[in-house]
Amino acid sequence: MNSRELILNKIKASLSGSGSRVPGDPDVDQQISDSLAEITPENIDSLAGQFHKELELVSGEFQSAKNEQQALQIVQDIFSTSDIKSFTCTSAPLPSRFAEALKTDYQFIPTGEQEARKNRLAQATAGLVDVDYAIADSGTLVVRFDRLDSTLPHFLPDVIIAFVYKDQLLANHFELFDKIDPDAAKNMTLITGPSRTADIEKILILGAHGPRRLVVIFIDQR
Amino acid sequence: MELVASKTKAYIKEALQDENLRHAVDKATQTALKKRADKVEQIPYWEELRHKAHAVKKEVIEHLDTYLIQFEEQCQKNGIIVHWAADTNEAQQIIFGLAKKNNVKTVVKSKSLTTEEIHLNKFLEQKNIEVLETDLGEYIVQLLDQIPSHLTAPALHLTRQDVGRIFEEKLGVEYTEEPTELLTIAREKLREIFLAADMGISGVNFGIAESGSLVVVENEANARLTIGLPKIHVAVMGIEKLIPSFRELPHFLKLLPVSATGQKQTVYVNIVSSALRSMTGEGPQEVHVVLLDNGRSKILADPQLRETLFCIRCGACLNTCPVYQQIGGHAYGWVYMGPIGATLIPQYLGEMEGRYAPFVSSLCGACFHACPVRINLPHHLLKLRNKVVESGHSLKAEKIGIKIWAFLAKRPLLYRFATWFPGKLQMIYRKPFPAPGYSKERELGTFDSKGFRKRFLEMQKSKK
Repeated sequence: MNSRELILNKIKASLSGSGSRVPGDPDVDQQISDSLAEITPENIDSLAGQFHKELELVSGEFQSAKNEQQALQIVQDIFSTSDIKSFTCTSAPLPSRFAEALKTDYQFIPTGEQEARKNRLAQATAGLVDVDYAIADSGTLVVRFDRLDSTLPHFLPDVIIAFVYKDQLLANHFELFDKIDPDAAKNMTLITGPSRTADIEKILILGAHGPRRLVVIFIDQR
Repeated sequence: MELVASKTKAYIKEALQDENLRHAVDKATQTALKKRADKVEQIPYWEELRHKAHAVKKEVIEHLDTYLIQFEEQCQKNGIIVHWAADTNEAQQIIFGLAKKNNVKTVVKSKSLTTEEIHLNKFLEQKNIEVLETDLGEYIVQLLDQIPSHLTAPALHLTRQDVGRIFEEKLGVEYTEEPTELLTIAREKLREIFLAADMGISGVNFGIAESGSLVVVENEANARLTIGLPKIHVAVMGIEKLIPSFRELPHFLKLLPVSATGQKQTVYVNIVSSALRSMTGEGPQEVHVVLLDNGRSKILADPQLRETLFCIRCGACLNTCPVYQQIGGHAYGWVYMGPIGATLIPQYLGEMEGRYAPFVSSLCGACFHACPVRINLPHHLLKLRNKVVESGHSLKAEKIGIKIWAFLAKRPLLYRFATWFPGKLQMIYRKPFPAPGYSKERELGTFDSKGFRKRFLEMQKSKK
């Protein structure tokens, strides 16, 4: 008997006499859903306001842009005022377009060839990324990797600049996992603020092994 | 430093005399409690979430075989290679086999109590494989050759001065006690190793049965780099870590960070269902998951105690426990500590080895109220105390004490005399009576001259 069979047989023996499926309590589900409905802002602008507030509570930075042109201007301002020397981006359309515009003035590190990629991207000061959704009640960004050529621009640079369109806003995690196709959620990261640690005397320090800064540029119109 | 659960009594004595440790643990647990309370207040459906999470875990644990088979099938469909390990030895051999096959020299690890349980670091180091913990707290305790003293804050028992001295001694850097500088030192050192490592080993917070996915939550991005940089990713998962589907995940993503660190959300929730290299051309070309039993299937046999397998390792029961607050985590003598550890120790290690653990509790019930999945810890501690007594491994002094009490309780006249006499004697001898063993650390207290029986009757009368 191999270990798989051994373990499964032991479990079956231990559970003999256990009943059928444990029914969920519809009341609890309803209470959670009612409670969420009560505290969730009703319109998109209030949701955007909530996202802004929550993002700042987790030490993320919020910038608002009317359109993509204005978003690019904000990126240029950040680059010029933040001592950014080099940057990378994911293969998504918006970050790629912005990279084209920025690479005349700043060193661009493309994701490029696979084997040397991690060492190269680790040199980038900034990473331009987009997201699939943003969650208002926690200031969270949702990134699916199945549509990108690299995950590393989200994690290796010191400064991450993420673009969020207003229509990507969701109220909370419940809405995300209700809405998203489970197959699309299979390789995904949820990001809430820059990396951090409080492992020394519970003192919060930003920038553990990942980014020290997370700037979200919130774009009104596509 | 190898800890042994049967030495708990000695460890507790040591811990109680260590002012530095008690100060550090007290400060950290009080901070964690305040932050948790603040966040719980912001979630009006907190209690409903706890009930829901309990029901979800109950469903999974009571049908664990079915969910494990579903999880295995889905993982295999996604291309994840599934291994089953009955015990520590088998898990170690599976991981070593993978390392050997892939010519692995350096392993980076993200925080995983399950790998602590199987002593993986020591084992791989003996096989000449370099293993680096990458969570800052874990990295610090690894430098000290210790194990974590808390489920989510491994170096909670150390002060910043301690960390400064450890870095100075072990890494050869100039002494600093400035936390930001200490982090920078660790970050630079570990970034190099991340980029060079051949294998990443992580734990798993939740396995999603319906989609064959591994969920790893963290704050530092070290787990993300462990999962996403080396060519091989090995996830070690206790068989109890499953939840049915993504639909239940938001409940746990709310409960876990609030309970663990008082955060509304952890910074990163990493969901992995296949080897990244197949999609992006970078990172792991193989993802392995090692499903570890190591005694869990035995714990399932008790319909009440199996609730201890619902645990999501948040550490809230530790922070709120008045005993843990005084002695920290190492005193329990095993990788799991605090109230949940005190229930797991005798179940995993047996009633002989774990005979002290269920007694390291005041049974005040605070742990039950803090537990995000509503594990009735005080009840289980009591039941396990009972088991220790039944197995004949309880303390000798306790056995004698209970025998004397039972003898007297069956003889009412003698019992009355025995409860009356110390009070009378106390009128002559006014200091607390000496009690060998007990009064070394504290005083016994003085007996009331009226005796319990008389005082009780008086109280009853006054109520009427």
